[in-house]
Amino acid sequence: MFPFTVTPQQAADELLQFNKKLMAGMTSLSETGPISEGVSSRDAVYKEDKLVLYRYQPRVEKRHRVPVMVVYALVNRPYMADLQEDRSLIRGLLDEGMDVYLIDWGYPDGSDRYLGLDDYINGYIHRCVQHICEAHDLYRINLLGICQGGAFSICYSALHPEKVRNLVTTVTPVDFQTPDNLLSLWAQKLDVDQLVDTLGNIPGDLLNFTFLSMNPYRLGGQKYLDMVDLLDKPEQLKNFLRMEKWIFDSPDQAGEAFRQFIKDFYQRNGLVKGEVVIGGQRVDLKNITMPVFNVYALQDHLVPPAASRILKELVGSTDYSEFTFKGGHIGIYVSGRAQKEVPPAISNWLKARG
Amino acid sequence: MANDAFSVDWMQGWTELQRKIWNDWIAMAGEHMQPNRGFSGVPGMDGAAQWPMQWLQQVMGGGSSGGGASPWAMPWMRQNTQTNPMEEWTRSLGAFFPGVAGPEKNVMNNMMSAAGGFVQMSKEIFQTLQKMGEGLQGGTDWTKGLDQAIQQAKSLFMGQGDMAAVMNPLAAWSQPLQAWTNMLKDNPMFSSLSSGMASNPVLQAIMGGEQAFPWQQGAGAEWMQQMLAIPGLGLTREKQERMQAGMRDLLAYQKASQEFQTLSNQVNVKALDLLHKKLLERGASNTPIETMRELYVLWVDCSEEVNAAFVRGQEYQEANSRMVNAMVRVQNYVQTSVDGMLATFNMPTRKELDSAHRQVHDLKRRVQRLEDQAKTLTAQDHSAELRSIRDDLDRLDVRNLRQELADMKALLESTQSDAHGHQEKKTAAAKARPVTQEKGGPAPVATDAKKGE
Repeated sequence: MFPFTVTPQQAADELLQFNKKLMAGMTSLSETGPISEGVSSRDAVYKEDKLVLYRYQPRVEKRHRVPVMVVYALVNRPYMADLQEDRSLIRGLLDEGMDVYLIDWGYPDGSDRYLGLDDYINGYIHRCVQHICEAHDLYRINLLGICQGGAFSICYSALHPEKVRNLVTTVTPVDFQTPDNLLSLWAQKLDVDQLVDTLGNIPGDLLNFTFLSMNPYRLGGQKYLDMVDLLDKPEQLKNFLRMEKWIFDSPDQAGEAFRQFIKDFYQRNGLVKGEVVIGGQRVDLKNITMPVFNVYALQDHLVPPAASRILKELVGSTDYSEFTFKGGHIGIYVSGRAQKEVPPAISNWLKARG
Repeated sequence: MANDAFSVDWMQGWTELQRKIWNDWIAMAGEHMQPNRGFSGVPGMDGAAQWPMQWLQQVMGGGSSGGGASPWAMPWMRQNTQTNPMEEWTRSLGAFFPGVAGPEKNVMNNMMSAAGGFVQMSKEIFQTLQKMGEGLQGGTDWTKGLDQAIQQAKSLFMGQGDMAAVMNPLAAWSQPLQAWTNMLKDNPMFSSLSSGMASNPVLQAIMGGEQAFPWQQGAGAEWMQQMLAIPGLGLTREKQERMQAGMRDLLAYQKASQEFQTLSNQVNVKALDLLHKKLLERGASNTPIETMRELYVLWVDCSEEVNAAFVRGQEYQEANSRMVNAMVRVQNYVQTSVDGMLATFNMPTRKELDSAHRQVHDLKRRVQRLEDQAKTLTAQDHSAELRSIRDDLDRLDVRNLRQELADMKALLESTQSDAHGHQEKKTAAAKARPVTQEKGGPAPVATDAKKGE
């Protein structure tokens, strides 16, 4: 049969209804108000350059003795982990009694272009860990890394194993050259030296564009068409706008750190090969002898599961566990199901290890 | 049978339908653009509010439909309409919408752009279906009609940039170039490329704006490359060479970007092939498309499927890298040139600023290291070490050692002495002992001993 049964009347009505929604939605859009950056109460406890270390206020009476420090990626902003009341990894951890700290890297500018991985890992992360240790009179704490922040946490744990009690990695790339890693395919022939030497810091918009290019038709068009259906649903519209803000709130990348990360991790796959050198020291994953909890998403298009799973074979720890989530790279933090699954899984694993 | 239903539904009552739609639309526009409502009442919105009326007048005023379309063609089906009403409407809303800034504004722009694409696509589909409907009335097989429609759509992607943009509801493949050129928008060389109105006459001559010049292709391009390879001479030979290198980079970028665009257009063509296949499958399985939106989503799905395979291919990766690397090389050349110019005016250059940033960074690292060392030193607990040393000293029993030493000296003195009797020597030694004990330290013993000496 002819594969198109919509009549002209139906089609015209459909377009008319669509335009009605669009017009009515303009008012809704203007009335959404400001979009928040994170929802949980927190205090800035340590500052250095543009970095701020936050400690979240407890939501239960009794807190776990050992704090957990969340290390977010340099790409995008960390409030994705605390996007809204009912979609917040941070809140989930707090509700489970965790004492949560988070590093906010801020927005690098031209003066930060020479910040390298040594500065980020042996410098900023290490001093944040030291600060928390001193504040709690502890010698080591728990680390929770997110995406690139997970890779940083792995490096830190390998370089300073004595400072990490338990390591949790979430959607963290370890093998950067799995065949299904599209970002890696694109990065292989990029002349990153020339790019950094020319641009200095790498514009956040450029990274955004790269991510959108993975699904250009859906993310560049269909998403916004679907949004028209949300215009008369204020709460859902606000949720959409929160996510939209997060997606495009992209700090520039410090040039040297970007150069090292692309060359050593993506182009040379140095973490797997044991060839990454940070601050003059080789990152040997066999040094990671503390308990490791590796959380990854099965439909992750940015960090394919295979890119994370290999961690098991590389670490020196005898206490290695995995948690798989049926969702994507972002869904693992913001989906409704994730709220019920991910924070309890992480918290229970940490509690079981003191 | 399906053909009959299609024909009847599609051919009846178009004039009435058109009137109904525009009446509804006008009512809708009027409702939302009243001066006392929402986003109206701001400068410029009056004109925007009136445009549906103007458009309607234009449509109903008997203006002939473009492209030989039937008199009952919907307004958006008229290819030769001077202005695109949807575009005008969305632009008006976007430009004059008050109180919307930041991410909301961007979201709105994206939404309006997507909506415009959707309506535009609907327009094209309407037109295609209209032609097919006419064909079906004449007894043509619908599969042939569909095939023709797809072929016609594909032809729009073959070397006709503007029409490709019209047909592609998302114009997604204009994005790669757009994103990079936005990034480098302040670069005069790229502005000249995009606008074709180079302020730099040399560039204008080389690039020729939108016009293809002989030296941009084939033997002409080869000749240009040879010219640019001629060594510089005289006082300005270094500058000549740098400029030649810059021009070569620019030509390389132009070539790379053209190759990339050509490759990218293939995605749209292949997506149409896939759409064709899926429509045939749905026809065969009696699961027809029932809304315009469904068709749009199917098209997007096809485009994504083709794109996913395409961007994983070696060909795409190489073309993409070539384009990006070439573009950055041009940017690098321009920056170097600008730095050179600034230096002649004794103004700070990018290079100097970078150098200063590096020095500050290095200094900060050194200070940090020193602070860490100082912190480590002050934090060290020396009390345990002190206690340990005291313990060692106690174990050595220094006082007794000194006493023994004094005794030995006294003994030595006694054996060497012949002037006094044995008893007197003993008395002297006995005298020295309480003094040492009272002072409690070795120095007085030594002093006494010296004194004794």
